[in-house]
Order: sequence, then C-alpha cells, then structure tokens
Amino acid sequence: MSSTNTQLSVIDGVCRQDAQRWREFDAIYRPILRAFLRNRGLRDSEASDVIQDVFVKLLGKIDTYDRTKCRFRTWLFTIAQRTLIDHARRRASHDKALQGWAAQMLKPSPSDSAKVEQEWTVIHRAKILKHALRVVRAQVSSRAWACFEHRLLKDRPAADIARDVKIEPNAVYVNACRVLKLVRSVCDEFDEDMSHAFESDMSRGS
Amino acid sequence: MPSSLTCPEEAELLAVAAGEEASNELRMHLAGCPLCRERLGRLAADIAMLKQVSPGGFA
Repeated sequence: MSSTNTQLSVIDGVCRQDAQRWREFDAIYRPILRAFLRNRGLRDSEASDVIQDVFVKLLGKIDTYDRTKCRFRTWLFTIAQRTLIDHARRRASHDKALQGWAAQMLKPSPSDSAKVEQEWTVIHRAKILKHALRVVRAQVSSRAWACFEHRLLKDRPAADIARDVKIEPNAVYVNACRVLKLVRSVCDEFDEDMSHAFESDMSRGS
Repeated sequence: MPSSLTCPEEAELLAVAAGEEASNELRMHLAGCPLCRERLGRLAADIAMLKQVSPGGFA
C-alpha cells in the first residue's frame, strides 16, 4: 500500500540529505513546529529562532534516527521539546528568575508532559493529513476525488454522487477506496497513521 | 470461523464504515472474522479523522 516501496520517503530523503526532500520536509515541518511552539506560549519571532535550533539539531542527529525504535514524529518531538527547554533555560537565566512560563517548562509534571505530547500528536497528524489530501487531490482524477470527498468528507449519499459523476453507486466506494489508500500512503511517508486513535483503542482492549 | 471464507474487498467494507447497511452475508462474515472487524474499525477511524480535519469538505 505504501508508496515508500517505490519512492524515497521524505524522512528517508532527509536522512540522506537529499536537497529536494529537505525542501519538502521544511515546507511540511516548519508550520507544524511553529504551531506547536506557539501553543507552548512562544511569540512568533521566538518560535522562528527555536525552529532554526531544532533544524540545526535535527541535521546533526538525523543519521542516528532509527525508525525501528520509534516513530519519526516521536523522535522529532523529543528534539523539539529539548530545544524548547534549552530556550526556556536561556530565557530563565536571562531573567534571573524561574517563574511563570519558564518555571512551567522546566518543571513539568508527568501529566503535563503527556498533555504536551498529545497536543503535539494532534497538530502533527492534522497537518500531515491535510498535506496528504492536497498531494493526492493533485494526483487523482476529478471523478475519483469527487467520490472520495463527497462521500467520506461531506457525507453525501453514494447514489447522489453516482448520478452526478455518471457511475454505478458501488463504483463510488471503489473510487473513494483508491483515494483513501493513496492518502494513507502519503501519511505513511511521514510515519503518520490516520487510524492512530483506532490503534490506541485496540491496544487498550476496547 | 467466518461464514464465508473469502474476505470482502476494501470498498465493500468502506461502504459499511461510511454508514451503508451491510448485507446479511457480510454481516455474518464480520461476526466470524476478527480481521475484517478490525479492517472495518480502521476504515471508520479513517473516516472520523478525515471529517475532523476537513469538516464539510476539503477546501
């Protein structure tokens, strides 16, 4: 199902320092990191500085990333979080006081850490999925896209869509299914799983 | 043991995940096939995620 069999994934490309893949990576991950850092209370200019620091660290450590040990998202989160803590330390040192935001960043409780990582996961998944939708929409026929979008996103009846695009109702699902597989495949390139919530439920035995 | 040995195509499961009524044959298959129940759950989760990220369609 994954296109990673035939195409170098973005993450693999970055690991190999492929310039084109790095540009794609930057375009995807800079907004993700910015959204995360802004949610953590940084001003836009501060966020830009921290993102640069994250990218510098990432480039220095990328060859140590082992996808068999953890998801790329988790690995990058660790780098982003550590960079943010370094930033908080510098800020605290500059202010000569650990209070407010900086204190919270430096002394997070376990529940805070879990909450922050969950926030990161939600941002990451949504941004990657939106990117995947843009990529796939440009790849597939307007008919296939209409079946996917109108049935799965807009919840229109299959019979109405079939009439509009002049196909059998069952073919609406065949088309939607093909598009969905492509969307999953692009998400795979970023080590992101659309059905993560389902997996979490399964692992909890519910 | 599934009532039918052949597992349904993904598109058939997608229809059910999207809210279509399952045929009796499919319902019986699902009752006996944990793999297909998992496939169905995954498709339902995918649809929920899509709606959450792009409510009302993809602009």
